[in-house]
Amino acid sequence: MDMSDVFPEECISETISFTCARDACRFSVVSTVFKSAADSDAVWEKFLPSDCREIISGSASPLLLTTNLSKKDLYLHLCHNPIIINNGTMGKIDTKILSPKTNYGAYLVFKLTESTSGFRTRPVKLGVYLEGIDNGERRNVYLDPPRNTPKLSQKRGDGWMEIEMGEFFNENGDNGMLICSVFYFKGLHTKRGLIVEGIELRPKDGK
Amino acid sequence: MSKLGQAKRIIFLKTADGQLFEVDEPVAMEFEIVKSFFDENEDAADDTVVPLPNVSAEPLAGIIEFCKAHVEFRANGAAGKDEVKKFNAEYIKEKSNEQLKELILAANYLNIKEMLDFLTETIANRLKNKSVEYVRAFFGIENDFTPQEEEAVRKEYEWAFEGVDED
Repeated sequence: MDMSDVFPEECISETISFTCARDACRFSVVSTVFKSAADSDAVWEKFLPSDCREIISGSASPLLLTTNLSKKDLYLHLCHNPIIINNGTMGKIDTKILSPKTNYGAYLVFKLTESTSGFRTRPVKLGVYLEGIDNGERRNVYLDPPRNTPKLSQKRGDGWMEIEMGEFFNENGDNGMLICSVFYFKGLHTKRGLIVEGIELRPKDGK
Repeated sequence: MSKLGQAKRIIFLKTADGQLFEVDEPVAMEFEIVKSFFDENEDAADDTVVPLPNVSAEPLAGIIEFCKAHVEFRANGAAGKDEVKKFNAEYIKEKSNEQLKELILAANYLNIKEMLDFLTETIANRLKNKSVEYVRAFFGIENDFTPQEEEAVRKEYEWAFEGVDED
């Protein structure tokens, strides 16, 4: 029996809306009915933060709201062209403005000037944690690693570098404030030549 | 509607396969389709049998069990509490994929929003990170894309196909 004849499209889109963006994109290959359900605004509205309009209008790219993008296109656009909400080396973001049931990566967006020093031999510590619940876990990374060591940072298309600071799975958005911090090493060594553009949060593929 | 005051009213429902169910009124009124039947037929006699031509006995029994429990939870002020979650988890544990699908079709026809939400979320959890082929087999769906169309969609979302679960 072909269930798609009997299984109503609204039940399919309802089901897909309980999965995640990655599942929804993959399930659009199942059949034409699935594609129509998986592309629907009803599904993608659930994946976007509930006060998405508010966030965008207060961001550096408020014009996004005047376009006629479908909810899916808006979501994918934001994944590829994240909007800058906060500047600074300590980012603080309310988890309720993040999409529910989504795994986020936090990225430090930076540049090293030609005269940089100090970042080759000493790591910086990166931490992503919830306000008030800091387990002290940090990533030690070299922003300017010596040759022959694996490079954790990568070039972005926009002339900046980025390095993953950590990840955070946002269940329902009721976890309070998420904090992303960069801790510089202490000591007598001088360090210079680091320009930080900001911290970016975006959904991570894979989970 | 019953004018008998304290007396507990029973609603009669007849399934597609000819079985007659006797259901307590508050439970039957969870079914939007039954509720509107009586809203539209205000003069219906108390022993009116409501025909349900799109539901067979097995899923209806399952639906009555679920709605009965949830009506009681609400009456006891337990809605949203742990015992509800526990009941839901137990309820779904023994259900096969086939039974789940029949329950969804029946709940959709009877128009029971709360149960439909719960069932679709349960199916979604069983489909998370599964392959396209798995989903087709799960729903018994024929792929109606041409090979070119399918290839184009696959290519567009290549990243969504990496690392999916083994079927």
